[in-house]
Amino acid sequence: MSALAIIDHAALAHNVGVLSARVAPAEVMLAVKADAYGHGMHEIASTALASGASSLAVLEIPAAVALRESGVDCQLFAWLHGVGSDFESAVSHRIDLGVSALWQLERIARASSRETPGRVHLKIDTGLHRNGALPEQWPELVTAARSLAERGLVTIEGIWSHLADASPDDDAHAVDAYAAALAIADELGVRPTMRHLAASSAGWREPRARYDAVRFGIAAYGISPFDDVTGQGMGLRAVMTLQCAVSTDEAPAGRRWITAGYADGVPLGARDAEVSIGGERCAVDSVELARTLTVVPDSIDDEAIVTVFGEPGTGVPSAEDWARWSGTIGDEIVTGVPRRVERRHDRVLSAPTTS
Amino acid sequence: MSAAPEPPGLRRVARLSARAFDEALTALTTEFGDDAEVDLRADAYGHGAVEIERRARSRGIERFVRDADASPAVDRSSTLYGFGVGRPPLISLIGEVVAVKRVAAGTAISYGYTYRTTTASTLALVGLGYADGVPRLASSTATVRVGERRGLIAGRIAMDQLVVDLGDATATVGDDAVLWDDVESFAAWCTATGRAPAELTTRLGARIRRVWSDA
Repeated sequence: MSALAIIDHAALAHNVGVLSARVAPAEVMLAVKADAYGHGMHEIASTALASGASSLAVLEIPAAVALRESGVDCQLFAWLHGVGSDFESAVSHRIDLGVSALWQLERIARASSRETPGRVHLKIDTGLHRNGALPEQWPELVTAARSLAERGLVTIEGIWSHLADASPDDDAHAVDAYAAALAIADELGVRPTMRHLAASSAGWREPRARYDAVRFGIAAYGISPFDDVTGQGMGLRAVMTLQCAVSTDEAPAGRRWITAGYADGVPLGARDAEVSIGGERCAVDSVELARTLTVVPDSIDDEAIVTVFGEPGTGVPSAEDWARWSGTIGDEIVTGVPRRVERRHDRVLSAPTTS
Repeated sequence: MSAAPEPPGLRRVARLSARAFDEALTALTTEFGDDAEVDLRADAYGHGAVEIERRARSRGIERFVRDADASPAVDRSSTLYGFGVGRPPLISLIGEVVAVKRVAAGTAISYGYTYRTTTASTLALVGLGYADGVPRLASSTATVRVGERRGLIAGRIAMDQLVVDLGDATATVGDDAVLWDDVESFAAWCTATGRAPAELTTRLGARIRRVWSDA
């Protein structure tokens, strides 16, 4: 395979700066889950923290522990736990843990001590119906956490939820539900300093949802969370560029193969898709495992760089274009670039390096 | 199952059937004799090239297609990986139930509230999403089995999670959630997503552990 994913750290730093300025005084918790949306968790973490993010959202304990062990000292937030999740390791590595249910609280308490209390963020379900305590379960969860806090076994760092990004009306109801959960916790004497609700969508558009921190994910990678404005329209820059080369494989007249296929992150199921070959837009004919057939002009430079997607300001297709062509969202396009595709990290303050 | 210890995180497993692979190798060598070759490109279409090669070599196969090679003239992946029509997949895809909720009829679920329950329902949250290669196109279309019940994916598949509507069935945190494990369920996933079998397995992500089972 000869595809290459170039990660533009200057673009990431720019985006984190834009987002930080927009939501201040709320802080930015940068989502680096799913290997930083396919960009590379460790590399993205260090640039994000140097550019204005104050904490990192990592989804699950093993990823948080890996970051901590690599020397990352900031607040690390993990919230999706299975029955085999290693809460002992999370507590000893000072990982902040999202808690949706009593069984998680009990496991964390067992892993904690007065010397090393577990750090918890209680989650209320405000309508998404994934994780989080239902409103009728909320007082019990808060009370149980408070009792552990009184015994010195946990510290309640936060109360949080997740919006559905449905209609403005639906989201307003969810913000109300979150405020109601905060009020109930307050009545029970639980007033954590980190209230976080919004991700990219509400963080950008809904000041009322920002509270103490916004968990920005997709916007930081330069991709819009909305369907009525692009990342470029928001003043953001694409962080990932997926490139390959023109193939020497024999092709039908007027067609050329390029050296990336769906195993290299070329999205499947797209209609009317295009790539850029040496700056020229070329229609995609069909996508195979390791190569893609494209419709090319009469003369084509065999050495031309092929850009599957990248920064739209340079005239190439964007991940958002591919999302539109294949009926999905940009998040799936960038996270769909498999781990085995080489990442080249072009860093901000040093000459481009390969890692 | 393999002897590898369970890693301390969510359970996401591509379970590979040693018996089915053995039968596939027999079919391959019967059909092609000394020309039998095993296509290892794209990490053996997502199956894990190292173990596929080791098992193929132990059966005397010496010819392999690798990433640097041109696309082979004859596609033998169908026989080998169970991509052909009516063939069982070599991989069964299994996630973990990480939360269970009982909700009323009319409850909206996941991003955009594109799905609502039609009856009082049990919802199982499963720790697999499109970052794992579960196509977002399967939202509200494909099904997942928990216990004896196969339920519809309720609403949008997210990056790391999906919700299954189990109706009046029950589920417990820690249960297996089986996306596919036989001819019928794999074919249904291909239909629901418009993906070819090879496309589904090749895009399975790095967080999913490949585990060989003797069965």
